[in-house]
Formats: sequence, structure tokens, C-alpha cells
Amino acid sequence: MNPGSARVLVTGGAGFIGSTLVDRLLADCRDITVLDSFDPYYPEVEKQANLYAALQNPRCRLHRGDIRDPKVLEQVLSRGGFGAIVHLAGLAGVRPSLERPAHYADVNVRGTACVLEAAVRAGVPHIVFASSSSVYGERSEGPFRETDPVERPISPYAATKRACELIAHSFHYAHGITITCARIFTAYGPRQRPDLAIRRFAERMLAGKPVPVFGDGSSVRDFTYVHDLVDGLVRALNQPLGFSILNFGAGRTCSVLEVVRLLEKTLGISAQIEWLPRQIGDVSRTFADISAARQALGYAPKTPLDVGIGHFAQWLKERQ
Amino acid sequence: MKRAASERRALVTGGAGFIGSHLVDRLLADGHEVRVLDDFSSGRESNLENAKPKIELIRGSICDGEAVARATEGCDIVFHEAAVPSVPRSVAEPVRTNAVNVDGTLLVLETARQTGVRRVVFAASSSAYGNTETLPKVESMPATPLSPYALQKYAGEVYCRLYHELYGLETVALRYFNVFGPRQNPESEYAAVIPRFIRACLRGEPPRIYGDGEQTRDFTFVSDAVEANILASRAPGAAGAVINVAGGRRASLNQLFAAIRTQTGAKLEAIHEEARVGDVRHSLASLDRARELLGYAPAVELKLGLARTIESLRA
Repeated sequence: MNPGSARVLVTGGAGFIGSTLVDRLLADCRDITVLDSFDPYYPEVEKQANLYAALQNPRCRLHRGDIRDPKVLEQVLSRGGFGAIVHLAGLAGVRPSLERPAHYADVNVRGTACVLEAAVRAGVPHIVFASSSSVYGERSEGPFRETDPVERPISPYAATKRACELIAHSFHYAHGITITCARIFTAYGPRQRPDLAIRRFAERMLAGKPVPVFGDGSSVRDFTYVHDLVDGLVRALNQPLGFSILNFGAGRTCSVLEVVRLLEKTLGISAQIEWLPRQIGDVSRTFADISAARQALGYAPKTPLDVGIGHFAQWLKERQ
Repeated sequence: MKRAASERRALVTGGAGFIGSHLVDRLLADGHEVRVLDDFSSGRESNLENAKPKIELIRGSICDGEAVARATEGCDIVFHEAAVPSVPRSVAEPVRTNAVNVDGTLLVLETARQTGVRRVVFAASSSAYGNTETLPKVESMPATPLSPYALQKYAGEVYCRLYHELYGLETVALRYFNVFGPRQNPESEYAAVIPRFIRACLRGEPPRIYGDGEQTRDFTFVSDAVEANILASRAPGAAGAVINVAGGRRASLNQLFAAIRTQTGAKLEAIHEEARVGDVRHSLASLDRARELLGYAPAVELKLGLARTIESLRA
């Protein structure tokens, strides 16, 4: 199969990033199969809503199933014609990974190995894998480059994502499939997962509840607007680069407290902040150097944080 | 919130048409609010099947000032795709096609200027080049239109440039090279070559090739043309420019027919007929300016684009 073939499998395609990607790929005339287990990490109804529009399109199919079940993958891929897999399925969340590290390792690491194994068996030549900025660990300086050392993850979640990158490389070496690992920096926007900061803050503010801020609010994130990220993933999908690891961030940082201030301005509500101690596993900063993705793929995030938060807030209001 | 809302509102004229409807789908996927102005003279309801619940649809012509004003109001960007998109039809009806393709375009530009639209991206055409002596076709070459359609599209892009220079309206004219893909109408009397060949192969009817079939074209898959529009809507240095949008490689009609025959499994020979007057012999775009000003690079190879198109016509 040619990596540019129309048919693409998106694992985790009912999630926040996955469903946004599916909408875009359908608009690009692709033919999509979504594999999602509807893990109860957050309510299934949210994921169903994410995919509602996509599933009206005859070029989109949904399979409910677990990536760790080889029969499921075999069945999905038996349809043939898949040019690529975008592998986004996995357990998310840094803090919950501290509670269930073995489960995270099983779903994320073994699950990724299962996806890669099935890809090789079915002759799917190209994979885009969702890695994470958390692999960089605790760093005081930035921006982070893909060539920086990543031997010291500080959460099981981060460790599983790094392990997946390493397994991916071994598959590239042994079987020649092309794999791009996208290190994603804090995605936000419409359909954002309910446990992620911007959404949690906004919902609590709208409900008149205090906003929990961990540490002193000075921790900074490279917040990436989901449509910018999806544009990068589509580029990674369209353009195999052998084996490569690329940062997908916005290339600038914003403190958590500044985000609260932006939300206050956007929502017209002043936030009551509840200060909580810093959480184990949370890194104090993420900051992407995006020059490699820019050069290799023409990746160019364009959405300023205030604009992105405006779009997000509008989505949140519309769904309430 | 008002500012953010208008910043992402886009109008697509001809949004029910072939390229327009793909653009609508992409804009929706990118999170834009989308308005469509279409009179369904060549656009089709079925092209908007998926998009319809999410868009604001205004049924009207680009020649109707009131409809155009309603459509542009509050939009940040206008993608002007509406046209009578046919060379032979323009030869048959030069006056009527001029009214839509030139007067209609002028009306869209003038209304956009008055309603505070930031940028207009215009669907221009590679036919403006005519038969150039050298390939690839570079935007700096003089235009030598060979048909009323080519002249009308060329007039539209010159109006775009003037509106930028005289009134500061940001305009970008994209010269499309043989765009193809799903939703391109194979039934029309003026159907483009790719849907015509595919339909013929699927039905087992030998297609006609005008001339020896060694004439070449630069074929662009529709999602690449859409990507160019998205890039043109925001590239800072593109205002006032005319930019080629193409696949960046050329294929002869004989090669094209052979590829479609293989992919459909048809066992047919084409019928060669006399070359048509006014047909361009060879076409290949330079993509230097598109790369430089837009960061554009075609992503879909011809064979893969053909596979997607064949699949859609089979369904």
C-alpha cells in the first residue's frame, strides 16, 4: 500500500484531538476508520458528540474495540487499502498515571506494540504516533529540542510515551515502516478533554466555583490550539520522513495564571483561585522548539492564545 | 467575543460547487463559521449534504447585489469560487458568461470592500496563460487568453490586483491548474477530462480523446487546491498576488487514460478525434511563487487522487 492512500485508521479517533483530526481528514477526501474503546476516563457521551458529524459521512466508519485485542485490529485492517494509521489511542493524564502505572504501561506501551505489529502484518506502511511533551521531564530552561536528552521522565505517563517512541524506532528498523512521533504540547480548543486545565478552569468559573491552581501558578505551558496541531498531524500523515520525532507546539509559553486571566477576560467572570500544593508528576514548564517540524513539514501554528481561547469559550457556551 | 466570531466567519461563493464544497468542508473542519452563496446553476445540493446543518446557506447569484451584500456582511474572508466554469460554454455564450464571471466578480469585490471584508481569495485559472512557448508557466509570463472564459478569469484577477492597489482590499488570485476529485460532475456536457474518462471506463464506453493524446496537463487534486486557499487566506505576503496552484507534475492524456484504465480494470481503447480549436498543447505550473508566498506543496499524487475520484464515482 502507498502511504498516501485514501484510507486511514485513526485509533482513539473519538477523543478530543482524534475527532478533530477525523473531521479534517474527511474534508481532505480521505476515507476514515475510527477505532476507539470509549475508555470511561471521561464520559462516552462526549466522545459520541465529538464524532456525531463525522459519522454522518459515508466515508467514516466507527469500530468499538481495544487496541490490545489483536483480533480487533486484524478485523479492522482486513478491509484493506489502509495507507496509514494515526495512533492516538492511549490512556491520557499525568496525575492518574501515578495511581495506575501498570495499567498505563499496558494500554500505552503494549497497546502501541499491538498497533505496530498489526500494521506490519497488514502491510500498512506509515504511522503517525501521538507522543507527548512530557517526555522531556523537568526542565528549567527551554525551548525543548527533539535532540535533547529524554532519560528522566517524571511520571509513568511520560515514561510510557517515551517507551512507545523507542518501540516505534525498532519497528522502523526491523520492518521499514515509516513512523513520525509527534510530541504534542498541551493541546486545547473545542472538544477539549474535561480533565485538562483550560476546560476545567472555564467550567468551574462558569459554575461560580473556585479554580484550583497548583503550585504558585507560575508553571508555564506551550499551549497548542487543536486545529494548528491537527494541521501538523495531517502534514506528518501526508509526508513520511523515515523515522522521525517532531515537536508540535505553538513555540511560545504562557503561565497557568495568565491563562486564568485570559479566561476571565473572555468569559467576563472574575475567578476565585484556590491555591493547592504542586502535584507530583507535573512538570513546571513545557516549551517547544518547533523549527524541525517547520522545516521538515512546513508546520506553522497560527492561532494566538487569546483567539484560541475565544473559540474554545464559544464552543463551551454552545454545548451548555 | 464578537471580534473572535467575525474573525472566523468565511463566505464561500459557489460553495455548492465542486471546489467550493470541498473548501466549505475544510473550513468547517478547521472550526470556521461558514456562509455559502450559491444559485445552484452548476452547484449541487448533494455536495453540501454533510455541511448543510452547519452552514448558513444563501441561495442567490453573485450578480444579485442584495444577495452579495447579505452574504459578505460580517465576514472576515471571502473565497470567491462562483463562476460559469467552462471554456466551451464561454465560447457558446460569451455575453452571458461574461456577466457572471466578470461583472459578478467585480460586484463581489466591490461589496467586500464596502462591507469591510479583510481578504478575498479568487479562483483564477491557468487558462489565462494560453499557449506559452516555454514550460513551466510562471506567473510573470504575459497572459494570452484563448477563450472568453480565460479572458474573463484573467479580468477577474486584474480586478483583484486593482482592488488591492486602489482600495487596500487584500486579494489573492489563485490560478488553478486542472483541479480534479470527488464531486466533479461527470455528466455535464462540458465535463472535465478526468471524470469523463472515469465514467467511460466504469460504463465500458470508449472515451474520446481530442488529438493524439500527447498533450499534457498539470493535474491538481482538489484537497491540494483547498489547502492552497486556506494558506492564501492568511499568508501575510500574498496580498495583491497572482499565484499558480497545481500538482507540480504533468501527465499526457494518454498516460492519464492508461492509469484510469488500470485502476478501473476496464479493457477499452480511446477513440481519437480531431484536436479541438483553442485547446492548449502543454501545461505545467511553476510552483516557486506558491512555495515562497504560501508555503504550498502538493500532497496528493496523481495516482492516489485518481483512486479517490474513482472510488467516489463508483459509490
